[in-house]
Amino acid sequence: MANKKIYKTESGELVYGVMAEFANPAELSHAAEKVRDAGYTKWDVYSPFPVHGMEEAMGMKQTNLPILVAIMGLSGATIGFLFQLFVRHMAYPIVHQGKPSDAWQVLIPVTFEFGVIFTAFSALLGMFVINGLPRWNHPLLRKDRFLGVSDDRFIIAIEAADEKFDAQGVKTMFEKAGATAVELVTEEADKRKVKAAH
Amino acid sequence: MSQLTSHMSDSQSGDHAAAHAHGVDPALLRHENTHLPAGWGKGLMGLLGVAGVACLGLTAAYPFVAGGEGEKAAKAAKHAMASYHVGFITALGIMLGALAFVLIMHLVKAGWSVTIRRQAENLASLMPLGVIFALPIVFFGGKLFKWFDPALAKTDTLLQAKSAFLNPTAFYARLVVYFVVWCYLAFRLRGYSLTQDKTGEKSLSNKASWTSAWGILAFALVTAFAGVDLLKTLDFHWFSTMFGVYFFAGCMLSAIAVLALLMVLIRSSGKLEGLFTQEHSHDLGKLMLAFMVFWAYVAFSQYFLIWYANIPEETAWVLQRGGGSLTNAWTPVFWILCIGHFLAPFPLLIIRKSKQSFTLISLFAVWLLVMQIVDFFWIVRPMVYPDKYIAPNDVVTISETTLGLTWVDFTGALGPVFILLAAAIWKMSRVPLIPLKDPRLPEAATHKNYV
Repeated sequence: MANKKIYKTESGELVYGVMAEFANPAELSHAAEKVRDAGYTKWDVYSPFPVHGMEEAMGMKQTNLPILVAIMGLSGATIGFLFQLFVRHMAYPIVHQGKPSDAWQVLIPVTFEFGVIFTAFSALLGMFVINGLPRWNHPLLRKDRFLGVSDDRFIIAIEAADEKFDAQGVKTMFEKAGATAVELVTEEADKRKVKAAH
Repeated sequence: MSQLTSHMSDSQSGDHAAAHAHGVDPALLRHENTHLPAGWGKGLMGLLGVAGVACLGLTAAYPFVAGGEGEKAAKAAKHAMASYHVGFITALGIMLGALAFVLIMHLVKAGWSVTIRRQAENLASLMPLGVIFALPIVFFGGKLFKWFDPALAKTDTLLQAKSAFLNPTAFYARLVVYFVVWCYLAFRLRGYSLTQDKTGEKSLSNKASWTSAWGILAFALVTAFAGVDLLKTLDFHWFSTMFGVYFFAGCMLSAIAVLALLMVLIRSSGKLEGLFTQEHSHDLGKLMLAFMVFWAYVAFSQYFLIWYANIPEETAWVLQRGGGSLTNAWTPVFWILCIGHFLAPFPLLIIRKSKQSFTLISLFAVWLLVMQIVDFFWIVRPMVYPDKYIAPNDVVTISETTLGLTWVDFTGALGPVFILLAAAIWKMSRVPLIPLKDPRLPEAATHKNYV
């Protein structure tokens, strides 16, 4: 990370990356395969609807989220179980319905619910964190062309943060892959950042 | 989308989309891939069949081998009958679960499971075997069901109140209705599927869906009643409104386990290449996991309500089976069920690899099938060596119960299951391994679980 390159336009704007438009989902899939094979890591594909086989075309790996969710779910269930046991059996033991205060049966429903709620929340929040959400804006949204991905456009964008990024190289690759348009995407002008980059 | 994707041809995703548009790759549907040679699996079938018949023979011989007179002889006969009942219910449960599988898949018009459905149809259509397995009840039902005894109906208040439902004539009549419904649904749905193999008529799939729509209602009703009749009435003082669902959960789990075993068996003989892949195994494993969790959920719900309400009529059944705070001979079995049927396999089966690997899923299938037998054993067998007879107003006693486990428990439980598996293998080579012309076959052939 130390010698991370920072790309700027001639007018000094920070470069977010390069995006390219493709004519249809098939072209999009083929282009995604080429980007995958070229070894890029920080890029994404945008289309108005899910494209079959895109996961493979992009070479997406299984997320680590399930492991996090499993750990959180099990911890949640354990916490729920122990907390109830503590309250019922140690902190304030009372006999009710003639049941022993350390009966495990009565703890199960809440233990289950604790497990479920920890699982659900860690899945949701973990997804947010891994995806870098929430964010209020995105450089791509400044491009009129990009707004069409919610309608009829198919776009691939490679970020400048990618180690292999090279604006000219990316542009050439996209054009070879059959892009109908290639555009440079810049970050929103933020004077402080630009200064720091100098 | 099909117009757009027709551009794709040379890539992986291209093939995928092309298959959607144009049907299944004919190479996959070639005869050698979708049919087993006639007489295939004779060795395995013979082995299972001989073992099954031997088990049943030994079970039948048990009362004579155990010997004794009077009460001891009666007890031995009861023991043999109860052990056989465990096997009968397991085998019946597998067929019922398979029938439910076919019904559900037709009802939701599932695509992914088309290549598995034929084996489920085969299993369900073995239902006449269930009728044969039920015959001993007709002859020796009195040994199993206390309420068959007309003398008891004169003294037992609860039995008098329930006698309109609980009498042998009504019981046999109900059994006939159950088997008629099951056989009708199984044969009708398999018939549609086999006809479609020849004619390729797509409307048959819709007919099957329609049959499944009312069929699943009839099936649910009949199966819940059958669970009550065949298992719950063994202790007719007891009641649980959850029992029908509990029975169904177990049936479904064992059927999916057997389906997984059959599919892996077919696959290991080199058939169904590209038609039953690790993706299908993954989904079958998901269903197995789901029904294991469902079983645990229902089992706990039933137990929890009984535990909470603490009414003697209800608790007696659970106490007798070692589920109370006072331990007895059945307590270890109770905990084997809690741990082996849910707690231990759950964290293992939830891992993706366990479901995708043919070896691992077979191991889990065998394990869960064994656990399901233990479940039925836990339900049925305590009646042979019960506590002191517990009348509703009596004080509950948990005196020296014994498990009384002998070899007949194994032969009785395994005999019908072995015979069922042998019959399933026999059916396998007689018809195509998959519904060859099902309109949703392309969907199954290209089925994928994405990351």
